[in-house]
Amino acid sequence: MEHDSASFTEFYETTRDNCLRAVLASVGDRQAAEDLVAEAYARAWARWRQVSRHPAPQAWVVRTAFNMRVSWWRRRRREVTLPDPVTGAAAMPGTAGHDGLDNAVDRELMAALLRLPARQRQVVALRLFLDMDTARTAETLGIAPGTVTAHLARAIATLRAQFCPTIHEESWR
Amino acid sequence: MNDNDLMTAVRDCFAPVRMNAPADVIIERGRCLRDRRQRRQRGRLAVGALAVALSAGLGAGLGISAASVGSSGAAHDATLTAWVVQKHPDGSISVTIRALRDLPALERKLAADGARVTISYDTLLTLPRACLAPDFQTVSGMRIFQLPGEVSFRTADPARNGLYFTLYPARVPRHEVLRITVFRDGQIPPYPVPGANAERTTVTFPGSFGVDAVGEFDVFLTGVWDTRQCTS
Repeated sequence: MEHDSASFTEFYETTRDNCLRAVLASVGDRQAAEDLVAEAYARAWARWRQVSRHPAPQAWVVRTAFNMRVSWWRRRRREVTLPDPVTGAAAMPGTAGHDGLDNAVDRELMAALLRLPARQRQVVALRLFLDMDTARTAETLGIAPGTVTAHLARAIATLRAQFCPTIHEESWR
Repeated sequence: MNDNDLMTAVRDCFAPVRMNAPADVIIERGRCLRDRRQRRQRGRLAVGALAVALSAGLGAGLGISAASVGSSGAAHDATLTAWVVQKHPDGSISVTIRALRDLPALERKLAADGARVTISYDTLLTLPRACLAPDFQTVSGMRIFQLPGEVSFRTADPARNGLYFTLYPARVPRHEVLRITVFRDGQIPPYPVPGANAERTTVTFPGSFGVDAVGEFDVFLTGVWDTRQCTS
């Protein structure tokens, strides 16, 4: 058990940031992403014997977080969003002041990412932050490798169209 | 800016994002989840045991007086129990072994019911010839055990996988033990064994032995002296 805790702790320390970035890129809400990743790691610890033998344990964590996100959304659909008692405005995640994003993360970039379809965001997250190849990404998401390639190409094209002008403008300042 | 530059820019934007939760908090939460899962599993096992007990109670009307079950079977088919022991009113014991798991528990259960049986895997070749009980042939003629009917061990029908036999413990001579040995197909005992002493058949125990031992196995049943050397 001590050995399990030690190996899990090492795994957690070395992978947690990239897993959070991957989930944040997909979810767009810093607080929700951190909760999801923490819960996914806790589930990984609960079955560490199996997860540690997984070919890519960090992919297991991110995939679990993605799945919990789906569950969270399914639960949320049955919930009613009440207006804020002070302002009267409905609190919606993803809106300014509620997304919990680090100031360091470019909001325009996050907005561009969130405009991508969910599957494209997941592909980008896995390829970018977990350095997964096409085959592993496809396996993790349960889709065909060709679909991964297509999603990535479309995501890059969309990001280039939305994001690059900003970079160019800033680089000229 | 090419694609790599774009991806690098995106990655750089996320560089300051760090997971703050300390590992011990995660582990504590994981421990709660694990305990909850184990409680749930124990509950399911209890429900399964209750179902088996109910079915055994149903079988009492058919002459079955008691039944014990082993832990869940092969990982790919968790609904199967590893083994089932049923003691009948006439003292005979029906044994169904679907997977060679929890064998010490199975041996203890059989011993509690009065049948001295030892079950082992792939050790027949190391069994000294002197262990074979010479009078087992006679005892075998009194039906210490029997293999009921045609035994199907094909993986295509997991519900029929396994070994089925009936023991008559009262007819086993003192100082003798029934030894069941499962070994890889093709491994022939290095000494002649009287035909009546043993039944040999081919079985498939999917996912048994705690290793990937899916394949064809021979089951060898014989009587041995009740000594540590012969039963271990």
